[in-house]
Amino acid sequence: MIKSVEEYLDLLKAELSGSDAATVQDALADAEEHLRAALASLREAQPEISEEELLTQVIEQYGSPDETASAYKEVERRTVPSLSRRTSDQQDSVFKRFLSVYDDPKAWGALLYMLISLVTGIVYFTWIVTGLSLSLSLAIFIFGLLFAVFFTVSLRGLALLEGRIVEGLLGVRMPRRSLFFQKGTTWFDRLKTNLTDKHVWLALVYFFLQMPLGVIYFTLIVTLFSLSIGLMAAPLVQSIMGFPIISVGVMRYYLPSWTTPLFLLVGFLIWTLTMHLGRSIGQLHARYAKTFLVPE
Amino acid sequence: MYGYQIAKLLEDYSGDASFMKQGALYPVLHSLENGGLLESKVEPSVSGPPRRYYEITSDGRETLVIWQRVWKEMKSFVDRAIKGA
Repeated sequence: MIKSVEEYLDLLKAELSGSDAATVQDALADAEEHLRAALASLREAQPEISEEELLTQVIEQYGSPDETASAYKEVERRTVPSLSRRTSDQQDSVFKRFLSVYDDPKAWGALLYMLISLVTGIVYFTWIVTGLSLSLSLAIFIFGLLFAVFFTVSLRGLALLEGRIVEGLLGVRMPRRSLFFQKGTTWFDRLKTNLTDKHVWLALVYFFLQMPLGVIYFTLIVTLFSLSIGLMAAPLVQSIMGFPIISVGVMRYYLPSWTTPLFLLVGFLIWTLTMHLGRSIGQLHARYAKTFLVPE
Repeated sequence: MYGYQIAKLLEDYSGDASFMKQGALYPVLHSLENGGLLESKVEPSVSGPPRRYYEITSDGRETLVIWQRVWKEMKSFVDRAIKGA
């Protein structure tokens, strides 16, 4: 017989071993929310019954850990991952596979992620530096403890938010629910739990590194796309508006007209290669985000 | 409504013939939310961890109308088939 909610959660986690880490986190958060809400409701209605008997009633209705685990596994198996599409067939020609990147939502999502990561990276970095500085400097005061708890809890919230962005734009399953603190635990216990949680420290490192990564991603994408657009536009601008491609003092250099297709082709190649590069970086980043933001 | 309330409501509707465990409801809610048919927000609770409240979206309402129509057609077909048999 299961004697506590914690024991149920441990058994559920064991039943879900081998499943996606994000699914496990969601299942644990859902089970904890439901079991505690049901226990509180039954306790109010039947105060004479012992806690263990109430929990048995609740689990009878909610389902045993293996039944619950099966339900999650079944729904996850049937759910199509976001941004999924038919992968390029090996039989498709190299040319077709090369161009198929334009039809891949993951490539477009990765490009958008790389562009916005500059903004999110700066926001994360600012919050991390501010939070760490204030937590350390206020540690001598009682309210410093409250701020430190707030800061470490905010990291869990940020991890959930970043997870939603990663899932939405990079198409990798991330948690949809954050894990809770048990009601009644003291502020000091919460701080201790957070400081000894490897996941919180990994999230801290992730958010710290997001700014340099965001700068690199943004610079790379903007530079390559600008180069590509510049190459494709130069011969057209020259022929329509009469602007020279290079102007040094009074010297003006114009492209011979036969180079126009060459410039268009090279520009298009760079654009397509940038799409491939963006997609690959997006997939690598998604794996890195999952490792750092989702507890095993 | 939050998850436990929805589970209790389903239990009341199903009466003695409970067709699913309450734990099987949550992955379905995730799936509906992921498909944009539901939206949810977390609110603090006085008696336990914060609760996630679910609300149907406009897309969800449109899909519900379609599902109801499909269900009626299916029910009507099955009724006719049974009567015919």
